[in-house]
Parts: sequence; C-alpha cells; structure tokens
Amino acid sequence: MTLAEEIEVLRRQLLKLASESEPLLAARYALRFPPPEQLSTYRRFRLAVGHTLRALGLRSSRPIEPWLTGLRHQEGKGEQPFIIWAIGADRDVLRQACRGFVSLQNAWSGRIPVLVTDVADFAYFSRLGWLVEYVPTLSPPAEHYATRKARYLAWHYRDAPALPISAGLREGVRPEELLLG
Amino acid sequence: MAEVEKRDLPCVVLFNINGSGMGHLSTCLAYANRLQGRARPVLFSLASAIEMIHEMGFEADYFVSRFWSRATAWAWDRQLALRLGMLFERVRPEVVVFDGTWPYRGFLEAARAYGVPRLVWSNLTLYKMGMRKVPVRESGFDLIIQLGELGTSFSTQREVMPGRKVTIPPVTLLRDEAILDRGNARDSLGLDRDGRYALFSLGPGNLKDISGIGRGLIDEMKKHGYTVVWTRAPISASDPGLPDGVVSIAAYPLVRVMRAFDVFVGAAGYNTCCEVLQSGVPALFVPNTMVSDDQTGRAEMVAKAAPAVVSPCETLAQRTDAINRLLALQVRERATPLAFDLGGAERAADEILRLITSARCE
Repeated sequence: MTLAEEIEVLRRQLLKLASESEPLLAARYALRFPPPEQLSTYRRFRLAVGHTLRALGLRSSRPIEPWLTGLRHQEGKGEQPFIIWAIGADRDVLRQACRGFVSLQNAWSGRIPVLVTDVADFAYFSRLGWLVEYVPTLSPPAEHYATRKARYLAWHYRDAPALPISAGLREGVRPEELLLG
Repeated sequence: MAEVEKRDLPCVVLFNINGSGMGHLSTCLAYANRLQGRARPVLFSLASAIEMIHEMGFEADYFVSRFWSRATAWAWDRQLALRLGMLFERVRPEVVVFDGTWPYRGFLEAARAYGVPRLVWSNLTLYKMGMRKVPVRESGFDLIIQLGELGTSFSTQREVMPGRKVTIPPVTLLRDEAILDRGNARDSLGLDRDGRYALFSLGPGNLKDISGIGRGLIDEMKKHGYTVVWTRAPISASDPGLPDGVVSIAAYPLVRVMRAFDVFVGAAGYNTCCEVLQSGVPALFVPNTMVSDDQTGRAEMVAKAAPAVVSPCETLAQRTDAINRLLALQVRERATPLAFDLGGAERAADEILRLITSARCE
C-alpha cells in the first residue's frame, strides 16, 4: 500500500469512528459558568436576564473558545493541529516513528502534532513537546472505555488531518505526500 | 488479584493535578497503594508520568495539565469535564478524590453532572503567607483531608458531613518495608558498595531554572570526593546538560533507593521531605520559592528534627557553607532511626473506605 492509500484508509476509519461518538456527551458535561451557588442575588438576576435574552435570540451566545493543542513550553509552531494516530503501536516502533516525524517537521507547514496513542511512554513523549492524547485500556467494568475515548477523540479532532505512524517510518517522504493541506 | 474479585471492589478515582514536581501524583499513588486490595483505585492524572503509575500496578488516564496547555481556562475546563465524565461513566466510582490546591471548575462540574456519590478534597496545609484564598466551598466535599507536616498526628477538625475535615500525619508513598537497605539499593542502581554518593533531585525544572544552582552544588560535592547521581524527573520537558562524571538515573519512587546514598540534595516539596524523613538520609534542602506551598518553612521544620540543612544555595559562599554543614551532619548522624508518625496515607485510605461504607448504608 502506498503512503497516500494508508493515509486515506486511516482517515476513512477515523470518520467512521467519529460518526459513532456520542453527541450528548458534550451536553451532559457542559460547563456552567460560574457555579451558581457562589453568586450573589444580583449576579444571579443578571445571569437569568442574559439567559432569557439569548434564548430569545436578542443577545449573542458566548463564542466557543477553540481547543488549542500547543503546549506552553513549545513556542511559535503554529496552532493548527494534525493528528498522529498511534493506537495499537509497538513502543519502540512508535519512538522510531516519532523521530521520523521530528525529522519531517519542515513538512508540517505551521501545524503542530497531536499524538493519539495507547502507549504509555511519556518520559519519551514529554521531550517531544507535543500534546499527547492517551487512550488507556482499563479492566472490567471499564473495558470499553478505550473504544469510547478513541471515538470521542476522532470526533474532537475531526477537522485535523490525520497520519498513520507509518508516515514517520518511511524513508524519503516528501512534504506533499503527507496530505496535510 | 483475580479479575472477578477486582471488579467487585468499589472504585475510587484519584485525580492529581500537575504541580512543580511529582508531589500530587505521589500523594495519589500513596493513597492508591494503601487502598489496594480493599478498593479499585483508578488515577486520572494531569502529570504525565503515566508509565510510573502503571509500573506500580494501577490503571490511569491522562489529560494535559492546565499549566502546560495553551488552551484558555474555559476551553480546558470544558474538555476536563467531558473527559472525566466519560471516565466516571465507565469505571463508576463510589468516591472521587481531588488532590491539589484549587479544585478545577471542570472537575467539579463532572462530579456534579455524573453524580459522584462521595467527593474528597486532599490538600496541603502549609502555604506561603498571602496566598489567595481558594473560592471553593469545603461543604461541596464530603471529606477534606489535610496533609499534615512533620509532627502532625491524626485529628478531626469537623465531624459532620458534608465538609468533614481531618488532618493526617505526613504521607509516604511506600511502606517502610518496601524501601531497600543501603546495600540492596546500591546493587539495584549498579553503584559501588564502597563508593561515596550524593543524590541530587532538584525537581523537573519546569517552573524554575535550577541548572545554575545544580552545577554549583555538583562542583562543591565533587571537591569532597563524592560521585553525584542526578535524578531525571519523568515529567521534565528537557534535561539539563550534566558535567562529566555525574551519573544520571531515572528512579521512581525515589525513596525506594534513597538509602543507597550518603547524602541527599533536593527541593523541599512535601513528598521529598517525607521521603527524607522516612529514609533517614542527611539532606540539603534548596527550597523552591516559586511554588505556592511554603517550602522554606517546611524545610526548616524538618531540619529542626532530622539531619538536614536548608539553604537557597544561590551564591558560591552559600553553597560552600551548605555542603560543609551537610557533610558534618553525615559524619555525625548517618542512619539514625527517626521516630515520627508517617502513617498519613493509611489514615487517608481508612477515611476513604469509611466514606464508601457510609454511602452504601444510606
């Protein structure tokens, strides 16, 4: 399989995973701001008025702040993420792939990597300076947690181009072959 | 333990923030260690040393620390609430413990939305003067565990729930029997049994650049014929360049092998001080003044009761003086057994299990 085909297969898989995520999850754990029990009567009144005006469409809703994937100790590498999907990877192979991605960093064109993995090798990852999304395998009754989290992450990063770890393992990959857009 | 038996145990989720070092993670691991066999601890860690948690036999999930992430507080809290909620729905905790200074909005929201049966806030007591009051009500928690400093014994400040408040003795990650003696510790690290070794653990350096102080202390120690062993913190984003002759190790928990060393040089975080007390190794504390807890106050408290020296070590004169005093202690007081109550983790575990029982009786 060519790298382009591998990328295509992975992106199709992630689209399917994302489609299986739970749309109600975000609503169930939506953040309230701030916790109402700590507010004065005046602030509660102001909030109630605000809620009513927004419900009637007379005031704009609070814009959703974007999820920035950069880390503070890594400066100036852009903010548009791309995903390195490394579920089920071998630890040593993943290290090798990460080294490959680092050597390809000129090809990222202002994007920053997010590593999605079930490999716990954080002593190594922490020196890469990338955001790591960990997908742990838990014992029963939480044995389906990994699948659930993987679906969520596929949905959460649905707008970011994804790459398989094989992209970091191949020799002589040209920037345009990564299809990062 | 068989999978079926483990499944039947009540689940306790332990949530640790990511401070300047591994302290909050160590506290949660200490609780997990004492809960093992009586509950099923699952850690949700903002510190990235996940493999260390797995190596100690516990399950864990990870989410990037708020101090590392460039996301806004609101966006980060929103993600935290959702990730925690996902976990809660699968592991079904009977108790959730937050270990840290300031319970995050996302944490509180996830606990509320899921309906966590019992909520615990575990926190230090020794903070620097003038620290901003945390605007979180203690009555929002069923139990508040205050981690006592040296000389603290177990006490109850408030009996009624919610908001029952207890203070526990210092917390140690490992039980005494899990700590290797000098010879075995040296063998496990591949150190010469007859050598003279100084252990350096100045923290991950993610908050404070300790490389200058570290280098100066290494030079001083080498002048006295000691081999310096530098611990690489699992969560540090980069390693300082080390001078020739310095041995670098990655050991966690450090206390397991601490008795391999003649002297210890390190920051004065809560867990480090407890480890020094537990191991009895003479110590030079270089307090980190950039963190919220009062490391200087804690180090001075320990130095009154145990073989320890406290110094900022910022100048050559301070470093020379500190090392001379440390080595004098080492000659006088090496391996003196110390008698302090360090059973805080056992008391915390008992309190957490009591909560489970009380929730089941309702």
